[in-house]
Amino acid sequence: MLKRLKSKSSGILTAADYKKVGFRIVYWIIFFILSVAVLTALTPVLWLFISSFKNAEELTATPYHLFPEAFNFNKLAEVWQMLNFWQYFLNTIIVVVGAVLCSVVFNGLLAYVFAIVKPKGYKIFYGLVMASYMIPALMSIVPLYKQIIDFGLINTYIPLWFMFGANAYYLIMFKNYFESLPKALFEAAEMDRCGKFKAFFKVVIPMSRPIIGVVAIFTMTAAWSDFLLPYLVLNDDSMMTVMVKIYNLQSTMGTVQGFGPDKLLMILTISILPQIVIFALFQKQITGSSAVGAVKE
Amino acid sequence: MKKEKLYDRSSVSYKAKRLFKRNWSGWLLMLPGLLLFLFFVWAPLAQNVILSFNETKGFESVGFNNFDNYIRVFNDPMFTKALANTFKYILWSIIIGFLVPIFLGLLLSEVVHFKPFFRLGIYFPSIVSGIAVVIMWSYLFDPNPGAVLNQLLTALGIPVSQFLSNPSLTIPLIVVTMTWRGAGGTVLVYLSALQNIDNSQYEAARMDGAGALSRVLHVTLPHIMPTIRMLFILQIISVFQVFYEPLVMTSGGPDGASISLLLLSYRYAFESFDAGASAATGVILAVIIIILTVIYLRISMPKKDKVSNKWRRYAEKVKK
Amino acid sequence: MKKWLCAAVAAIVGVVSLLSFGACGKGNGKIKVSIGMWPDPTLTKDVEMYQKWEEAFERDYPQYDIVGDRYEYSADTIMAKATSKQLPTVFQTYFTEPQKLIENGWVADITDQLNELGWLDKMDVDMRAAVSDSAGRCYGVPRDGYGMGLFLNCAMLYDVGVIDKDADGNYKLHDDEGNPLYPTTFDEIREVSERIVESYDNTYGLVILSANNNGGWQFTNMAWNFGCAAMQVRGADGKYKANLNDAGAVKALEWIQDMANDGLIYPDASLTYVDWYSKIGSKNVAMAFCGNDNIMMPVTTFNFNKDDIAFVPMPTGDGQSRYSLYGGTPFVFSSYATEEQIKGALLFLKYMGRSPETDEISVSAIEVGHQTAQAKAMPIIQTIRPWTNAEFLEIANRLDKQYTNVNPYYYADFFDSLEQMKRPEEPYYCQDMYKLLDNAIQNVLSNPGTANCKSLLDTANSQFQSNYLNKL
Repeated sequence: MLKRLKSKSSGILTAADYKKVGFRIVYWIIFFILSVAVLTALTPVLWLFISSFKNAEELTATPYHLFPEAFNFNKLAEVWQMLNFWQYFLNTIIVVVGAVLCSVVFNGLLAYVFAIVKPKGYKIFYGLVMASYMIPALMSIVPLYKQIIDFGLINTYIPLWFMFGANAYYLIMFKNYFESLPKALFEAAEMDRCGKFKAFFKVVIPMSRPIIGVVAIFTMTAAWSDFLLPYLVLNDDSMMTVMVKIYNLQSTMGTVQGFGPDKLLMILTISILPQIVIFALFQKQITGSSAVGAVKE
Repeated sequence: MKKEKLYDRSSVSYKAKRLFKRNWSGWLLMLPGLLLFLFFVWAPLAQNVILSFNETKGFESVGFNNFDNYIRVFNDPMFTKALANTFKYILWSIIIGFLVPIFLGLLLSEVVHFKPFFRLGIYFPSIVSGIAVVIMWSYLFDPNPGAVLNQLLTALGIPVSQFLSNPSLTIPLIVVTMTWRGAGGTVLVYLSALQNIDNSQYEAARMDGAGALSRVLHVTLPHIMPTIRMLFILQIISVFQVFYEPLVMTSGGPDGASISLLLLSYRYAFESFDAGASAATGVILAVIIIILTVIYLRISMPKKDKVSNKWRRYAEKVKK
Repeated sequence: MKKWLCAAVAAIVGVVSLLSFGACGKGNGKIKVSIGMWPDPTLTKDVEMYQKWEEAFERDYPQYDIVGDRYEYSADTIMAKATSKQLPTVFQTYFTEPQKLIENGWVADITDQLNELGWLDKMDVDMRAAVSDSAGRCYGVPRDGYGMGLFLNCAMLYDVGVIDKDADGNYKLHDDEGNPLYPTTFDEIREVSERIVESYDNTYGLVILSANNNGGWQFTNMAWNFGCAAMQVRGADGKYKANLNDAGAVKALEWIQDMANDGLIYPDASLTYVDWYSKIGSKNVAMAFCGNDNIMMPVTTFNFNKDDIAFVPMPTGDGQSRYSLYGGTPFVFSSYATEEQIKGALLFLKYMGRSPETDEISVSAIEVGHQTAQAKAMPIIQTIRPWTNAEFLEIANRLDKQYTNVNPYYYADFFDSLEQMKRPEEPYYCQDMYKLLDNAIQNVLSNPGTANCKSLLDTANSQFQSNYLNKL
């Protein structure tokens, strides 16, 4: 165990420091704190998995038992089938993929114009974007919702996708990045009589993979957990995302016979399982791309 | 080029044509993005301001009513609570949601044993969808002394808690829930920022006799400062979007102890059918955000970090 | 990889748009009637029952196409549903809601159609008032009514010696003189709760709801029974005045406060409707207030033994006032639906056994309902029917008796006294009033040591007056 410490040559504390007992104690404290952190991260989900196999009456029965009387895996299959949960997953993936595409293309394109193309009058619009920098769109929920109704976009994914195309924060991230790209690149593209639109796809996009990764990951996380607008817009059960469906089940639980807290917890478990599979398959990409989010000095 | 000479360069139509010729492609490229901003941000914002000065029936305005909506909102005890809660949410999310990931990121960058395991473990909660997280935690926070967390507290010799039903714990616990889910992603961002630090600067600092704490303060923190700033803004933005967490966990209670302005605005519109009050709340929220943004920009005016430059110079010396 | 991803995205988008257009193009020239009370897909037996009704209906009326379009009414979704014109043709709500729905123009006037069918005169007068506007136009068809009462876990009450058992092992709710052994006053509820808390670990006497307007709903009944004449009183000028801080209401809230302080009620300040039967079902509490239409919930969801249930009248607080809050569920019809659609929806109610008709179809529909309940092992108890025509009542009561699977004695006192105890909900902005009361209750439950009941109700009262009643 200690060998590893001895070979640590980078970072704040190195092998040189670990020669002292004091720092070795500090190291094990660090190790301990991280272990607690991981435990805190994992146990609630573990608790959920275990508890979702309980009966409704076992769930809050006293005295408290951590484990159910029996692990009835039929319950998992039964609840899954009953609800056809795949549908809601598919819907969520459709929403997330659309949102990521919109977010990258529209924010990227506008940032490209603001940072590189700079047509006359762009400053007015840039100023407007900056002014609404930190104001979330949902603050004006009534007019926004009314607009969505008037455009006939209720019960469609269109507003959910395109809302991510108007995000000042992502836009500014793109803009800062584009401004840091070498100017010569765009001049060359211009020389090639490459149209501006073409230049965006041929020059800017390939050069911007790190920042696209960051915005994509941020958008993905945000869209995956987006709630208010999907809840208002997606009225039809067959259109609902996982978030909306779970909320729906939770809030109408009081009136649906036979659907108690135990089944709700099983639904939560079910909603997590595919995510774990996706995570296991793509963990490098997922954890790797959020690493790109670090802003370089 | 030759053709242009045929025109009078000073004529308005020539200028307009030139302006158009030079810029049309840029304008065209701007159009889709701007339309989206118009649809999702500016138009609703403008309509919201107008609506906030109007009497409403359903979602339609039926006439100007001056500051009536604002007066009604300010007289609502629930609004006062939501306003105060906003600052409580900010405070707690700075203490918990903002600082904890920095701390964990630092520790994670230093650990050498089981590092991949720690990294994955800490990130894991981020893959659970938000609503599942809040429902799960609201079951964990069951105030029955016989329920799971209270049993744990009892085992540890800590008195049992009412958790979310205790008004002074509600907001911190909601922030804990949000952090539990959100911290993992943030930690990874910090981790990669930390790994980007050039080791020679630590070496230089060490040569100069800087202790461990001074290395953190003078080398590590200045280097991850841009990341810290970015994530700070994201953190604050997320506070203003707090909505479904109190909705699911406490329905804004007990007695408004956890209601957020966004949730209140939603309630006015969709439960009390008072679009005017909802709009007024939205406008007030926007004003708060603008004030905070201005303050933030004032404070964080880019100042070159002198201290970190000092170490950089040392680093250069050492290399030589 | 990149190309593959693009292709995949394009494929998904394509399939989805095809699917959604495909769904739109289903129009087959039939009149579409969407049914909002269609059961949740998790309730397979109920879905089957609806499908049976649908089949029978579509056989007799081939011009109609019945579509399940489940909408669980809630005060915070109706605005979104209605303004976006997504309401199903017919959906169910509560008796507190029609006035608001009528005022906003979201529900259709069905007076003429009801007259044509001959149903209007057969409607229970109180229930008809709940779904009619001030001019007497009718906007809904009541499904059934409920009265609030006290749900008892007899096994626990017997354990702590509150009630008895007879020689056959049935619970005895009365002593030999016929006086009730179960709590009939709030003081007695307190005493029983104390015994429960003494005898069991982490178990409480009673659960008081406190969120999603359910707190105010229960509390209104409690306040009446503590002597509050009404939460809304008509002044000399004919205008309604808020009376939420009446002495009776304050007493009721103080009673809750004392119960909380002494650890006799469930210590959570954010309990919604699901919680009363959750806590009953997991035996965290022995008693709860609920409507007689929902007694089956602990059984169907928590496997609670139906033979351990007794349902008794609401207790009194001041020794004289004793009311049972009387509400119910009406079917209402979207104002965006065409006259023909509404006609179809009304006729479908007959196929569900929810009309005053007594022909074979109606009778068999009621029977199918009972059989489904039986198959689910639900307790089948008396229903408060909205129709008053003798031939219907005769058949309905006969079927209720025939299918009942509980000991009617456990419910007798409640149903016998309901006629004289029943009291409709307060007239205006009822749900909004409940919401304000929720806040007061939450405050008391979360700071039982320090909360000032009078000032909390004063706040709720002035809010209710200025924000709601002044709008009248």
